[in-house]
Amino acid sequence: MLELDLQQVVSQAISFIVLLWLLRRFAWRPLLTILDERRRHIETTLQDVASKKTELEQLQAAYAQRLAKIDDEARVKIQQAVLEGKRIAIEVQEEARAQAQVILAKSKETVELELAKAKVTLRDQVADMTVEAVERVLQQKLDAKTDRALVERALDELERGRVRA
Amino acid sequence: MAVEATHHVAESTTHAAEAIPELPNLITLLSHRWHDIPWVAWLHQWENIVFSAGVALALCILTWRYSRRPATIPSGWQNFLELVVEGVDQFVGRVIGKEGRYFTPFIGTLFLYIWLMNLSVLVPFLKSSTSNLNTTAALAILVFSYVQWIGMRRLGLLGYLDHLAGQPRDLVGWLLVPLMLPIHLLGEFIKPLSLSLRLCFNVFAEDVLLAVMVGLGIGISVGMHLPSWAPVPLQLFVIPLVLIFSTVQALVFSLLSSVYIALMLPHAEHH
Repeated sequence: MLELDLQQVVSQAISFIVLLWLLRRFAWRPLLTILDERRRHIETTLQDVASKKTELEQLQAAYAQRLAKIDDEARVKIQQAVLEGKRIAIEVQEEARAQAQVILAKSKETVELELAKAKVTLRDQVADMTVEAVERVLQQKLDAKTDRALVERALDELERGRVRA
Repeated sequence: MAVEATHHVAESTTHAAEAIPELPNLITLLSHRWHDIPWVAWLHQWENIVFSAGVALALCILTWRYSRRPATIPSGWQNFLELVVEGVDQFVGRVIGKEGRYFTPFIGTLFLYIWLMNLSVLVPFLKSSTSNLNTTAALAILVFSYVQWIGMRRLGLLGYLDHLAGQPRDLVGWLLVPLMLPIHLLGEFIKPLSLSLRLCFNVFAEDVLLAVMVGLGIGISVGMHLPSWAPVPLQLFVIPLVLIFSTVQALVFSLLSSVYIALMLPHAEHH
C-alpha cells in the first residue's frame, strides 16, 4: 500500500489527464454552457415578466383613469342632455303658448266676425220683421226700398243710442 | 546479528501487512484462482490502475450520455449531473472567486473521480483505487504541478519567485528571504504529500473497517452455526459512514486543491 511505483504513478497521472481532457471537452463545457444559458434565459424571462407586469399595471391605471374620465364625460353629457331637454321643453311650451295665442286671437277674430255677421243678419231680419209688422199695422204699403231705409235709419239710431248708453 | 534483526523486522512487517483485512475484489479472486496465468498476474499488478480506469470509463460514459445533447428542461440523470456541475462550479467560485469558472473542470473532475473511486468499494468485487498511495500520489503531484504552472503563468517567472521568497518589499523582507524561501518551498512540497497521505489513509481505513465488519459478520455466523451463505451483515452499519467519509474526503481534496490554486493567483493575499 505504501510502496510507490513510478510506473503506476505515471499511469494514474496519464489516466487522470485523459479523463480531464475528455470531461472538459464533452461534459463540463456543454453542461456549464447550458446552465449559463438557462440562467440567462430565466433572468431574461423574469425581467420580461417584471416589465410586462409594470406595463400591465400602467395599462390598468390608464384604463381606470379613462373609465373615470368616461364616467365624468357621461355625467356631463347626461346633465347637458337634461338641460337641453328642459330648454326644448320650455321652447315647445312657449311655442305652444304662442300658437295658442295666435289660435285664440284668430278665434276671437272669427267670433267677432261671426258676431258682426250675425248682428248684420239679425238687423236685417229685425228690419224685415219690423217692416212687415209696420205694414200690417198701418195697412199701408210703402215701397220696400223706402221702408227699408227708414228702418235702417231707425236701427242705426237705436244702436247709436245703445252705444252711448 | 543486525542483519538477522532487520530481516526479523521486515518479516514481521510483511506479516502485519498481510494481516490487514481487505475485501476481495474481482482481480484478487482471479489471481487466487489462476495466479500462474501471465495476464492475470499483470492484472493483479495493475489492479489499482484497472479499477481507476474503470471508474474513469464509467464517468466518461455517464457524462457523455447525458451531456451530449443536454435538454433545456432537464430530467433524470441530467438533473443529477447538473446538480453536481453547478454545485462544484459554485463551490470553486466561492473559494477562488470570479476566476473560479476557469478551474471548475479541473476541480470538478478531481472531485468526481476521487468520489467515485472512494465509493467503488461499496460495489461487490470492486476496489477503491484511492486506498493505494500510487493513485493519490499521482493526483497530488498533478495538483502540485498544476498549481505551480498556474503560478508561473499568472505571476510570471519573477512574480512566481517573488511569491516563493515571501514577497519582500523592504530590508527586513529581503533579510528574511533565506528563511522564507525554504519555508515556502517546503510548504509547496508538503502540500501534495499531505493531500496524498490524508486521502490514501482515510480511504484505506474505511476499506479496512468494512472488511473487518464483513469478517466479524462471518465469524458470528460461524459461531452461531448459521449456514455459510447467510453471514450476519454487520457491514450495513458501516456503509453510511463510508458514504459520508468518502464524500468528505473527496470534498477535502477538492477544497484544498482550490485553496492552493487561490493562494497562487495574483489577487490572493495570504500573508
